[in-house]
Amino acid sequence: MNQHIRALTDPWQGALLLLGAMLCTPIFVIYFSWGAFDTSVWSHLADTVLSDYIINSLLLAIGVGLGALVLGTTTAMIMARYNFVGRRILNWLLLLPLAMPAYIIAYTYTGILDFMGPVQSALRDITGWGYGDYTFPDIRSLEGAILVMSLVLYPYVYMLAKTAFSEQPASLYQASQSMGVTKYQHFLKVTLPLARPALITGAALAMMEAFADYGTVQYFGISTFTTGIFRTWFGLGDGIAAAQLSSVLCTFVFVTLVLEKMSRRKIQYFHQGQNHQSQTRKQLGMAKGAAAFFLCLLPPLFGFILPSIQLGYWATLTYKTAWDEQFTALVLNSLFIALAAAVVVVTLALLLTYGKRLKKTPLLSGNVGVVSLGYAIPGTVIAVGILLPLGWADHAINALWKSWTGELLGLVFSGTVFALLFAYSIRFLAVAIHNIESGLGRITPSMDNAARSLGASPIRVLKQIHIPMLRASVLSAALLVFVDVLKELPATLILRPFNFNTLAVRSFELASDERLVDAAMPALAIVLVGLVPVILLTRAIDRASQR
Amino acid sequence: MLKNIKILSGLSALAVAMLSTSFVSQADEVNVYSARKEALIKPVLDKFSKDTGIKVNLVTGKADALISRLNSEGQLSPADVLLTTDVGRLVRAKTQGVTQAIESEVLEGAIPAHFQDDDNHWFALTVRARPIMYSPERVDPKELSTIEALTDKKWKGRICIRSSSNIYNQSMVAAMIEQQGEAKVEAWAKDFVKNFARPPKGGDRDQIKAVVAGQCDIAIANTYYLGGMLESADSKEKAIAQQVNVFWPNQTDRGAHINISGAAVTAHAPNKTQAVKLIEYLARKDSQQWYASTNHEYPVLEGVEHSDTLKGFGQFKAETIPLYRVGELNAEAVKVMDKAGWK
Amino acid sequence: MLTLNDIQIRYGNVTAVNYVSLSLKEGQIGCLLGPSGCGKTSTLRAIAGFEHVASGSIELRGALVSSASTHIPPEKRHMSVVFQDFALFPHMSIADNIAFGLHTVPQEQRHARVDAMLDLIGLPNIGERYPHELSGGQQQRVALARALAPEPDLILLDEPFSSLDADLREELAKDIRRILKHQKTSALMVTHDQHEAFAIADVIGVMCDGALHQWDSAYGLYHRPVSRFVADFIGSGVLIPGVITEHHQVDCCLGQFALSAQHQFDKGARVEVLVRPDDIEHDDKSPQKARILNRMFRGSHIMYELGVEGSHVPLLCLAPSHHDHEVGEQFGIKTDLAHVVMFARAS
Repeated sequence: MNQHIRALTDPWQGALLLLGAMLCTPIFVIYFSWGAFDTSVWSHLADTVLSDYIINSLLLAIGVGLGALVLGTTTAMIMARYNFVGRRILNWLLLLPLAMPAYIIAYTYTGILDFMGPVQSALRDITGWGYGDYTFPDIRSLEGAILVMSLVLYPYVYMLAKTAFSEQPASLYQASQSMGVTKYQHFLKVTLPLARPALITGAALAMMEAFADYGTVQYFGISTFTTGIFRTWFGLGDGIAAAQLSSVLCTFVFVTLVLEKMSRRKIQYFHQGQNHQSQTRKQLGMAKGAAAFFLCLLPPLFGFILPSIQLGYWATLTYKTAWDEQFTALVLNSLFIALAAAVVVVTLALLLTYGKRLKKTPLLSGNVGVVSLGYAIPGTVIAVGILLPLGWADHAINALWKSWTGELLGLVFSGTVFALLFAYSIRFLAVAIHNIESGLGRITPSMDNAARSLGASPIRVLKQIHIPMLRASVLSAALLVFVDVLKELPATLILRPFNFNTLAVRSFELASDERLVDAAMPALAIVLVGLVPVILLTRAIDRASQR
Repeated sequence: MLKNIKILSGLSALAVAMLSTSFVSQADEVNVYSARKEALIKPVLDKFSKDTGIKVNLVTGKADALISRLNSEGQLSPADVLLTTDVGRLVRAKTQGVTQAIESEVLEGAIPAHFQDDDNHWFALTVRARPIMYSPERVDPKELSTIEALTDKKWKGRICIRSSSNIYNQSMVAAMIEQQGEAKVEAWAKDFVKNFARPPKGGDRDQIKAVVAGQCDIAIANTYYLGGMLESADSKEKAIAQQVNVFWPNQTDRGAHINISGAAVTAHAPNKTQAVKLIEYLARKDSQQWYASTNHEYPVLEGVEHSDTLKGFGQFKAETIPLYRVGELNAEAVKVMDKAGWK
Repeated sequence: MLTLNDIQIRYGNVTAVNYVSLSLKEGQIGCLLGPSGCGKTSTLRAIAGFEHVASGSIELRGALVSSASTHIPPEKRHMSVVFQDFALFPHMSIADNIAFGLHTVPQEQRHARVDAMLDLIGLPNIGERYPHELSGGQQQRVALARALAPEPDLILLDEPFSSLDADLREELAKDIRRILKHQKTSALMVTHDQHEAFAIADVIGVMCDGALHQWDSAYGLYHRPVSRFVADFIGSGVLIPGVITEHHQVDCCLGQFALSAQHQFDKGARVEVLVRPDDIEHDDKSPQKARILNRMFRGSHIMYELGVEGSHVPLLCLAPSHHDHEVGEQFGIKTDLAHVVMFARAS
């Protein structure tokens, strides 16, 4: 009790809780929707489509989680443990799919694999078959969605897993060897369990992305919660039931998060041992090296290279008309908003995780947990969830302003860059928090205490101890947010100011108008702009793992 | 500690001030919330600016999101004009009170009465038709008659149509409910779904492609998608589009299903005069012609010449139901399709 | 200079530290000793400002730093802490680590101070190196240098030797005492190892279950323990039953012993008397005989476990190792209780 009172009077905690509360507004808004309950709509949903939403969303999330785990862990293991020809190229190739939005890869693969696409055409040319003479798996299915989303989301697992694998001290493996344990047993019994927190965090991120995905499932015609939300909101015109569906989706994600936390709690360890030696990578010979190279090449090949080639081909058909000064403005807008969001989101994540660590109150831990939920809420729901409070804030400010000056100020929050940054903060804070928290684990609590007792204020501890020690994780957090914002669509679409278009908006508008070929230029531009941070990210991770 | 808080709050106040660009309305501009994609509206808006000197500020987005935005912005909203691509959303905007009635002799005179709101809240700008498209190799057009007749067993496994989440299908079914009653349409939908060649997926262009691929023999799609494919930069797409024909259903009874795109002036429009001017401009003959040639939609204005592509689809008789009913019956339509198992 | 008045520390409903009071004089080295979970580390953390006190107060140089309503943050307390894991900042060089607490000192003086500290700990040439390049003992010294650099009012050491090898501990403990005394810095250490405490501290507090039993010199703790727990925890020894026969006299199986004037027992009271191994001397001439139950050779001495008639617990006797006797033999003993320590016997 005493503790809670102190929490509220402490300015730091108060500010952080307020921040948390602000970031949670859309979640509150959607949960408050249960205040009104329309039985007829729910009984209609339950009779017809609800079970589809639940089953498909769960299957998709679990499938994508497993897919990302398999791709991410395998590649990370090979990259962390072995040296082979071509490893340096793979180092950044493996992260490239991060720059590929799921909805764009979905469109692209449909183009590649559909009946008129190059693959089936070639197949028919070779075999002389016609339609109906053969069965070709349909990419536009749940399995297809799991496949394409795993292909672009596995880097979440890969990045964390690679760091975890390369940080494991050599002594562990030597100990296992001395006890006569085989390589395979060591991997199963030591390597994997030790890396488990990282693997689960990565998989959880991928699962949350899958829960929140709208573009891919919508195009593939899969009924999930996100498509259901839109259908209920737009089709049935029932915003309240749509919000209620969103809250159910949110609860799913909450459970994912809790499971992730629980699985990590059991293994909470800081790096002990002062001079641990990282394992040196084993040099592979020609044959094995080539096998390792091609195995690791597969995910980026299908998750990035092939779709990019298709997009590039389409772009050559349209570049003359698409390349104008408007296009330059699109690129600049996208860059600006992604950069600004990266800075804002990482700053907020640092403040929140830091506050949690400093005060260790259940209130602040809960705070961090709840703001992470935003990651799973589809962008549209977030956008609508903040339209309301922002509108309210605008009205309040205007009323105040009017009482002072007698005039109206106009919109201060809604329809401004502020609204966009606010939405991105809610949506992507979890990405930044996850990265920073895992990096924070490396800083022992006694380092904080030592610094404080040496006269450093909390701000100085943050600046001189945490930020330098966290530099790699902070950088990856910033770059991930940058890429995510670059790809972000629904919230941008709803909240952006006048005359403010981004590459994602342009490519989506064209693609949703089924002008896939015209959409290729902006899509390719997203991929190319996104490449820059991804390459930086690779270098940061490499440097961190070398230290 | 206190000092830090002060610095922080100072910084954040500064940031808010920098990021917020409040729209104090300037003399000659008009702000547009458009559900029509930028590429399909910007050129004509630019032309409007050039002709009149009125600056146009544009935000595009999904219609319902834009309506939500209007709702939350209330009287502070900078928006003057709402453009949508279906009548349902215009009706929804009117019902939610985010639009206002306007008086314009130009619009009254130019746009046929059944293409405008009874209270003058909204006016249609283009007509979008949803006929049947078929493979002439596998389908004899004589077999085709009405949408209702597509429940016949001979069509089993031969029909492609997109998801019921799509507004075009929702409007089509809503229009049928208006003309035939819910029970009859529900029964129709159940049999119709049984004839699907595959679970609905993709957009209208995908249905057309599926016909050419041989996955199905007929598709239901909006004409402008076929028009877009016929003029695509991708020669393959063009080739596909040339392999289907358009059949206008229900020509002997209620007419083919149509929807409209339209415009309304928002309830708190700060630039009402300019807003009306813009809508009038969009209803002008040359603007209408631009729509027809760029996106292959049918002009609402009579006497505007159709593009060659549109001419190629042939003349047709359209539905004449009160359009606002299509908006009102949207939810019923979704429920009917849910019950029929139309994904 | 440091005063704790009846402090209490609670975690939720659990009271970790219960009404602890102590005071440390300028330049003194204090130590809190006790088994794990006794509250000693919580007390240290409260002094450092990492924990809040639920009641009571902590004063440093007469200024209140902690009470139920006041909490000066750690960075304003002018106390440095040396941690069990040293908590050196891995991304900073040794020199930067030591300079960390010197951010208010001008640049030139800072260098001089860092060099002086490195000299003080006897590692003058490691300033450019990084923590992971040093051995455990070196890291420990650096941690101490870092803590000493800002010339804190008080140094707090939290189990500073527990992550080091046993043979390194004693040497380091001596070094640290020398350095602290040289700097005239007041210090408070927390440990569960009494030998470390004896090696470093001027004054030692024994804690158990959140309570401070005794705050005294090592001699005092050993010879005048105030509680059964302290008697048991410090050194070795056994308690044998006895009875107060006269106000000045106690009777037990080892004989009658004179008591000093002050004690709280009435005549006839049943007590337990503390007998330390060095209280019993090997004396072949003595009429009192004891049987050897067990023996442990300790180089210069042998520790015998003896059975004595009238005591159901074996007594301990530390005898010079030339008195070499086998288990089962009997030899004479003489008991010399300089200070008789007694506790009430549970009836």
